[in-house]
Amino acid sequence: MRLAWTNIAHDKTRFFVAVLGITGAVFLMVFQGSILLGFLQAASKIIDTTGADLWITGRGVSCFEFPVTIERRIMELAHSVPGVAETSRICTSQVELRKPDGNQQLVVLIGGDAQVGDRFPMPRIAGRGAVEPESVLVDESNAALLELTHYPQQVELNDQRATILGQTSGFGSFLGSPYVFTSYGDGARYIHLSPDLTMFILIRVSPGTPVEAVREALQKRLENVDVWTREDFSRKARLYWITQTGAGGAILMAALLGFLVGLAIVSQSIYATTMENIEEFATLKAIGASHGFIIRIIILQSLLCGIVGYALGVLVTAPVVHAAAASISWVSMPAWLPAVVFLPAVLMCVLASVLSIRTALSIEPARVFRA
Amino acid sequence: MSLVFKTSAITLIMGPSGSGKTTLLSVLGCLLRPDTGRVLVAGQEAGQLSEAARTLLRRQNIGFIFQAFRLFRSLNSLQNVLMAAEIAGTADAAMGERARQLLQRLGMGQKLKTKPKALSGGEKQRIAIARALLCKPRILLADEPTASLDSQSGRQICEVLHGLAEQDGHTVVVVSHDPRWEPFAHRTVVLEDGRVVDDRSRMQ
Repeated sequence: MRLAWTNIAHDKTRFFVAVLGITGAVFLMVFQGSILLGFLQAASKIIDTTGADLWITGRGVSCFEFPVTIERRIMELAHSVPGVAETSRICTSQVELRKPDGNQQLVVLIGGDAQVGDRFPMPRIAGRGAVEPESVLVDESNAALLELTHYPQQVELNDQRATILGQTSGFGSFLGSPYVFTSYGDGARYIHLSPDLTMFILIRVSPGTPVEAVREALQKRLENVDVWTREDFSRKARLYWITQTGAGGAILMAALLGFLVGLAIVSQSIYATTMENIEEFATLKAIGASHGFIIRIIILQSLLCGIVGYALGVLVTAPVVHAAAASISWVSMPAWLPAVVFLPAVLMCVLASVLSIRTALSIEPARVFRA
Repeated sequence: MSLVFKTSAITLIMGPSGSGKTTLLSVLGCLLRPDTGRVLVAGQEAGQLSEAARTLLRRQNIGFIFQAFRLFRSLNSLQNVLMAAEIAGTADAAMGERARQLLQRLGMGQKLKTKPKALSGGEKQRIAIARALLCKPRILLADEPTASLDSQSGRQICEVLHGLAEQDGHTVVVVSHDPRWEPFAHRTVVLEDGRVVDDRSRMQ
């Protein structure tokens, strides 16, 4: 199989072009994959952050960002269902944030009860754990957009006074409007939500009680609402943003495009190498090489380009994703993503060899007698 | 035509262009399937075999020497010779040693690491002969092996193949226009329009 490597190394320009093609394809696949994964995580970030076992939403609600109001009394009704240990609420809406200098910015306000979950951002008084009234938190990735240089800072939310107490991290919005977190009471007030209404009711199930059984009981007991396990609502939200907005399709299409462009470049390079050495393949056949031997040589040539291109692609992508995170805070490249992309990279190399293999196998070995 | 090629002898096939010399060699080498008739190679009827079986038959029994040498340009001399073992799946240390010994015997011991581009025509042909001999084939088929060589190199190749036939017992079939072969051939077959017009043997 030494011939595979020496043939490739013999024409360094062609080898470089093939490697470059694979590097570009791997870059696009990993980068687009990072965007897609980050997008999916961001689309369900709020849901996943809560400690709730179940979510009660208005009928037909597909994601957190587009809620409908439900009656607050559903909380009391839910409490009466066996297995429900604790309830809490979340409300959300777009509001206008106005700074003292008059600048305005549309933000997504999220208000939650204290029991929503320990990881849920809440403007608490330092060292005391109590929620600071009329206070909000913003994500650090939005500080520049909101021109926040110091904390606390006075602002108005829908013409009502609020204090930006500080910042949280990991809650960059994928919608363009920054998330602003506050207590449920303040949140409901800022968005003018009637005390008789709420948007999401979160349920914690008593320890040892099957979550699905409680979900079914709640769904049976409550009318005009949907009851989801947290995981199911999270999945539904991700699916909504991926399939209903076209965002997922666009990202996947870019990754597929990367794959196809890489495939075309590698195919062309491997085919050119094969054609350049076509007489050698005829010689191999004449002196007794099996089809399997020739196939192995061509695929190995392609894989050699693939491994070098893959390694370079990952090396290039990692810093680019890191740099992109400065402007797209939710972009995410877990360690397993490059490993997963190795599979399509190998597939690309094997597919790129198909045309060359067909050509090499169809060569007539008797042509070796031509001078 | 009906021809039987004996062991320990060089059979020289001659004839004008278009007489069928190369076609005969291709059929003998199991590279082409005969339209009619039978071709027995190492006891097997080659025309009845599948392509894979003919490939195996070639690999196990036939060594080829070509006018254009047909060396792998990116491999050095030793690697070119060892390619035959790689194809046969028998490349190991012992085969490496055999390849070195063959190259030594053919006067190429000093150029094991040299690539074909840096070799003369005669040297290339000796590498090709070593490659053809590596897996100990019973039959050697040579197509115009001296056509691209100067007189001295051509004579050396004739002597090498003659020695392989007489000393090692190979069945050597040489297709050539080159009259230099006649003193080395044990038998000369002349073809014309696909027919044998002369078939004479000579004791050396």
